Amino acid sequence: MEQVKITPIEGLLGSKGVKILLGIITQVEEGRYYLEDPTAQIPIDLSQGEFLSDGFITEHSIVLVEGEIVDGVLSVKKIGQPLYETRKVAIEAIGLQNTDLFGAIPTIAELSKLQEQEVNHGEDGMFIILSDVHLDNSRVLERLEKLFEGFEEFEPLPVFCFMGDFAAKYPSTVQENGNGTIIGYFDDLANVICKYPRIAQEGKFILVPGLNDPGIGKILPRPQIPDYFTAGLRSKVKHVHMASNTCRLRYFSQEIVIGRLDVMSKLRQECLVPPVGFEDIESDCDDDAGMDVEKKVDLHTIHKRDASSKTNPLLSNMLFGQCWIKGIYVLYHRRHCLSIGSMII
Amino acid sequence: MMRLYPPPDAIILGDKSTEAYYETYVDCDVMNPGAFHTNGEFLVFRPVDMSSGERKGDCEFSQID
Repeated sequence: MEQVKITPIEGLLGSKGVKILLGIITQVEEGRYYLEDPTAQIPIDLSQGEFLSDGFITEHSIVLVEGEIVDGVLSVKKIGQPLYETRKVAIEAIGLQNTDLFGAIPTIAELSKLQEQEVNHGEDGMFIILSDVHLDNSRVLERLEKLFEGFEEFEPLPVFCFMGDFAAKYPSTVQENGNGTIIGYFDDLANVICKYPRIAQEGKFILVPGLNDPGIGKILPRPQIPDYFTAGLRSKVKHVHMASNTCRLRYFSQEIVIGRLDVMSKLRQECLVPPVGFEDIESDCDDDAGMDVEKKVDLHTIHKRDASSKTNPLLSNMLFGQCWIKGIYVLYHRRHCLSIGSMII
Repeated sequence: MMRLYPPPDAIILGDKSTEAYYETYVDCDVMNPGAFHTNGEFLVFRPVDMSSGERKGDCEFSQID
């Protein structure tokens, strides 16, 4: 395999010729992008850069860059994402103590044991995942009824994961009995579930709020919907977990992240280099008019309440802040797909 | 809560700015169920599927009219 040498930015001083660098794209001055690594930062010119990998490059992306210094600016010739580090490799590298947020899997031997159990007992596990479950829409309630009817006889019952927003339009806070109306939405859901007593008794529900649902608004992670609104639902349905956005589940050895986030529009808005092979996206990136669709910024603040942010604050910012990480946008079975890019730091 | 390192086994993203999708990127399943209120789309995700002989996730798109 061909090996390349990565030059630290500090080492660029006084050197000539094409170099390969690894760094994070930052905006030190407004409107001017820099490449930064632990040693130094340097202004970059991305206009001539050829994008070699899939995905989006945005501010705060970690990138591999090939370029040379021209008048104190790093003129980028080629740019791409660094290699992906798999979960297995990452866990082996940094150990479980730093990775298992649940604190439930102390050793790698324990993890292997869980993987074994997962193969033997976990195959029946099923998650039914719905997003934008507008409870103020009677059509949605009818569909939910059909859904529960369909899964009522399943053994074991699947886990129902509903994501917000839970109403297309919430009553305004000054509107008379606005809160009562919202409580009514969740009571309606409870009533639909209670038509199927086994699901109400044994079924597990996870409700992940959207940004417009009641409670603390546009911050991430967003706390759960306040208990005040869901008291009726929780009293009628036995296992309702009001989750935060984002939240994570553990299923035997597996970790599943659930989030209600409009990621694709953000990536499209924020990309600095036109993505490869998607002319429609290129035109969106070049043309401001193309960004109007979701121009309104709906994710503002990162709420660093969780201890996990401390170990890797950078990563939290990379995905969920204004600045989005590299993602992969591919055509898959004629569908446009997004997946999260590599997470190496 | 929000970190993605090490990569989780699966990421479920409710993202109404794009269509429903399911993609496996290296060993991480990433999926978007689509908006239920528009045409009743939803996802059925099974984290453990042994039908191929090895342990991996399986995801099916479904819809209620």
